[in-house]
Amino acid sequence: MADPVMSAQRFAKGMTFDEYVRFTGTPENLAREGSTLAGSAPRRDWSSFFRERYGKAALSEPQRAAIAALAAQPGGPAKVVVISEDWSSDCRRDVPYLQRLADAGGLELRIFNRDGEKLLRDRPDASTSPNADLMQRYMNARTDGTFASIPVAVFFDRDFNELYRYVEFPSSYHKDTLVAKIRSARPGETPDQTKARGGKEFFALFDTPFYDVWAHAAIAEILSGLYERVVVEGRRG
Amino acid sequence: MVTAERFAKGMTFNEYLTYVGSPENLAREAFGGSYLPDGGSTAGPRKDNSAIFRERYAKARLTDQQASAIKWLAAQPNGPAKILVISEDWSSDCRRDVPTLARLAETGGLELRIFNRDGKKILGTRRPDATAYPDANHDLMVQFLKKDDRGEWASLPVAVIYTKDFKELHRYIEFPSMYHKDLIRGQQGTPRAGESADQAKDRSAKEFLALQASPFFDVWASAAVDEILSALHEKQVLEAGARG
Repeated sequence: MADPVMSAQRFAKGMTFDEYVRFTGTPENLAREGSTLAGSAPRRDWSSFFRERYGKAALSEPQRAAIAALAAQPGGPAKVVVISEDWSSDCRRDVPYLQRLADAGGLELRIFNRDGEKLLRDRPDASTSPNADLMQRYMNARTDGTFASIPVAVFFDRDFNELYRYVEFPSSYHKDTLVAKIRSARPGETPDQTKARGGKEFFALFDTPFYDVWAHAAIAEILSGLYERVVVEGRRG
Repeated sequence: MVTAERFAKGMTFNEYLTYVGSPENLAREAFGGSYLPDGGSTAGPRKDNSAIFRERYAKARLTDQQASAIKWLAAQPNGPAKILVISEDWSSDCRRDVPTLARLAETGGLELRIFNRDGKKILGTRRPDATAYPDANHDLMVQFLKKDDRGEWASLPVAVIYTKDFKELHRYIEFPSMYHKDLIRGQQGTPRAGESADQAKDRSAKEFLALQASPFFDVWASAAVDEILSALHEKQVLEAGARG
């Protein structure tokens, strides 16, 4: 059965990782509304960050062997659709590793912006974003609501049958707990001081090895999910 | 509670490697492959798994960032300093994780000590019982049971991470959350069209051994380290605020 939003034609409209990295540094991208934890903000140029992070991102040898084994299975993964925005620390963490995973498995990966000119504020809206239909299909349903969380990485076989989707961060990264702690007021702080310190501590987290530990954990989750779908369920059906 | 004296009675990883292949260990009952009605284990003969432990240790690698992360954690006030491991060599989960835990400990400069779960007899009841099995380490095991919606289990391996003063920081049990072992083993054990029950059992055992030799087992061993590091980091962040 055909996928409701993804097809070879639509897939071809996405950007390769190289195209995406170039795009993030263009005036066209930098003119789009960006975001911080606190809300809408001007966009920064993250293109060299993405390029350097991809340069350093390394899958472990077993991870490379695992994706190669999965890609060789009948009905195995062949295409990856990624929804990303460069202002998202989760996207900056994972997208370079996702490209490394695609490299190791010989998968084609295409990246789509989530938003148009304006930052998405409520539900994905086709009048403001050309990819609202994609985001709508891959919304993150949590107990406390439904969110347009990114990154999204959807894995397909070569006929665009969906195999697995990964959303936002790995389960071992308890981002909400950490962020709440980091951004809570310390004794004697004014609200502005809390905000400034919290922002600084949150960004400092991305300079620690844990940022890459979580990226590595995300790849392991994806490999486990694909193993279940392709090998375990594949045998059954 | 675990004291410094109790901890010191465990084996280092090197001592464990030697012990696993010793006549003393091989004379102990192993898991027989099925469970009694109350959840206790049936008994079977033990094979010599020491070569598997040695090979897995030789090829186990932390990523550079995992190595930096454990070193950073170990350098924090009240950071991790000791790892208590409960293991049995007949357990594929122990063979998967214990060599990688040894790498984690040596990289971070943590002391690691390994304890058998059982004595001469396999745990034949659901709940560990130090009175019924005086030669086992059930006093330890009973403190670290796995709890799920079907009850409590004496699952292995257990890795408990402590500060230098034996304050518990984190406990890791059996496998990383992304390894859905019951689902995978259930599928392997389901008879295929035309298979007899015995044929299905043989094929399932073969498929499970092949999985243990596949890259996925190493992916999960490394994911277990990611989980442990994330939990230890979270503890640091949450408690640093409480102290400061």
